[in-house]
Amino acid sequence: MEILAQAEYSQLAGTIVSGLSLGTIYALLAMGFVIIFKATQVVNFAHGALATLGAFITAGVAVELNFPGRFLDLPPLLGWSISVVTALVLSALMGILLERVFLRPMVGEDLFSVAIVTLGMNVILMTIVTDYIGPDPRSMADPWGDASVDLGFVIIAHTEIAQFLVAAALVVLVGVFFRSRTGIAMRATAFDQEAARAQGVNVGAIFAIAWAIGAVLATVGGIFGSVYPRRIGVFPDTAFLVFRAFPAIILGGLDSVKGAVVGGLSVGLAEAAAGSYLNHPLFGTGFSGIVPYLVMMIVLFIRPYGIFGTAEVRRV
Amino acid sequence: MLEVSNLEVVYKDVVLVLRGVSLEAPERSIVALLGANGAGKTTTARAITGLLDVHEGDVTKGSIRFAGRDITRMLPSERVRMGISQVMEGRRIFAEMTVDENLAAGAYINRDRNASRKSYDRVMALFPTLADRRTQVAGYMSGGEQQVLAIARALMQSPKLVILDEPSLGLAPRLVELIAEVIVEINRQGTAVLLIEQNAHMALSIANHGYVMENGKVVMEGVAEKLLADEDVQEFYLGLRAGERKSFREVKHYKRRKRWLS
Repeated sequence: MEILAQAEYSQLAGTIVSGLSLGTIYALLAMGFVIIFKATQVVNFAHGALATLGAFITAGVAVELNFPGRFLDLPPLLGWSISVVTALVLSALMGILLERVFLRPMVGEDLFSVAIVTLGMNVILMTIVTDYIGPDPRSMADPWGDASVDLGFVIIAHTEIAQFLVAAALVVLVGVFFRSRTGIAMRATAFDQEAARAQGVNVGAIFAIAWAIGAVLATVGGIFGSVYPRRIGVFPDTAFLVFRAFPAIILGGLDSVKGAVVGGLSVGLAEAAAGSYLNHPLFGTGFSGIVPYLVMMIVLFIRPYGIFGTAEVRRV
Repeated sequence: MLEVSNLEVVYKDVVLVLRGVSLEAPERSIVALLGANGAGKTTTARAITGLLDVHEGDVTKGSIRFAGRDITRMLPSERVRMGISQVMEGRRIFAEMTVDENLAAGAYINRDRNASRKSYDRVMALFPTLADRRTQVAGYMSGGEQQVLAIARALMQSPKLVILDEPSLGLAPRLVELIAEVIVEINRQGTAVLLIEQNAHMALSIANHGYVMENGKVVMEGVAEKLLADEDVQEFYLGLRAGERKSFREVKHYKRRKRWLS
C-alpha cells in the first residue's frame, strides 16, 4: 500500500515536472507572439518558422561555425552560452529584417491581410529551413546532453532545470522591460498608436524592437524544444510546437503577456496530465496532443476573450 | 514662432479639407482657433504636428515654419523634439496605464533622467490633483482629471508651443473654468498656446488673438477682445443675440447674411 502510494506520488511529481517544462516552452513562444501582436497588431503566423529558424541558427553557430569553440577553449557551458547569445542576436536581427521588409509596408492595412502576409512569410522561412536542414536533425550541441538529477521522488533532466531558470529570467526581464522608457513607449503604442506618435515615439522603432523580442523568445522556445528530453535536435517540424502554443495564446488572451505565461503553463500541465493519466483505451494513443485544444475550447466557452484578454480585442 | 502659410491639405487624395489656411502663433501668446465641426481645425493641428499620415492626409500646398525652420515635411518625433506638443481631441490618454506611466510616456523624447525629473516635478506642482493619483490607472479617472493628465503629459515634453484640441469637450462648466485657468498658468510660465475650441467664449476670454475657420478657410481674425465684441461671432459662436429667439428657418436666413462670406 505504502509503495503504491509512493509510486502515485512520484508519477504526479513527474507529470508536473514534464508539464511545466512543456509549459515553459509554450509560454516562451506565446509571450513572443503576444508581444508582437500587442505592439504591432500583427497576428504572426510565422512564429513557428521563427522558432525553427532560430533553433537552426543556434545549431549553425554552435556546431557548423563552432563559435566560439574554434577560437577559444572555454568550459562547455560558457562556450555554448556564448554561441546561444550570438544566435539570439542573429535571430533578433532576423526579426527586425522581416518586419522591415514584409510588414512595414502593410502598416495601416487590414488585420486579416497582414495575417496572410505572415502566412506567406512562414512558407518562405520554412522552405529555407527544410532545404538547409534536410531530412536529418541538427543537434543543438548543448552541454547537458541527457544528464539528469534524481531527487528520489522525481527525475529532472539538466536541460529542464536550465529551461526553468532561463524562462523565469526571461519572464522577469520582459516584466522589467515593460516598465522601462522603451517598454512604456511600447505599451503606449499598443494602446493608441497616434497618441504615442504625438508624444514623439518613433513607432517604427517600437515595431522593430517588438519583432526582435518576439524572435528572441521564439528562438529560446525553439532551442528548448529541440533538446533532451523532447528532441535530439531541430527538425523542420519544430515549427509545430507553435501550433500547440497557439491554444496557450488564445487561452491567456491574445493581448496579455501575463496570460501567455499562465496559458502556456496550464496548457503544458494539462497536456502532460492527459499523457500520464488518460490511458484508458477509450482515449486511444496520442490523446494528449488534442488536450491543449480541448482546454482552449472550454475556456473560450466561459471567457470568449481568454483569461486575461481585453474584451474589445479584435478577433481573427 | 509658428507660422502657417497658405496651407492646403487633402485627405485620401480627393477630399480638400484646408484651402489655404494662414495663421501665426507668436511666442508666449495664446491664440484661439475657432470654428464649427468640420471647419478644419483639427486638420490644421494635425498638419502642424505631422500626424496627417495616419488619416491618409497630405499637405499639398503651403508651408509650416516653426522657430525659423520649415517643418512641413518633418517627422512627428522631430517636431516634438523641436518643442511642439499636442493635446489631442478626446484626451487620448493611455487608459490602461497609471498616471505616472502616462507622464513617463509623455517624457519619452527626454533621454536625460534629470530633465525628465525636472519636468515631472514641475507638472506635479502645477497639477496637485495628479500628485494624489500617481499610481491610479488613468482610465478610471474623471473626464476633467483625464484632460488635466493629457495636458500634463504634453507638458512633460517641456514644449515651446502647446496645441490644445478641444480641451473643454464634454466637461462640466466648472471644469471648463479649471482648464481655462490651467491654460493661463501654462502660458504665464512661458509656453505659447494654440487653443482649438468650439467653446468660443472660454477661448476668446483667455486668448490674445483669435482666428475663425469655416469650410477649410480662415474667414476672420483679430484681437480676442475685438472678436468677442463682433456681432457675427456673438451670433454664430457665442449664441448671444439681444432679444428674440429664432426658429431654424430664421437661422438659415441669418447665415446668408454673414458678412465674410459675401
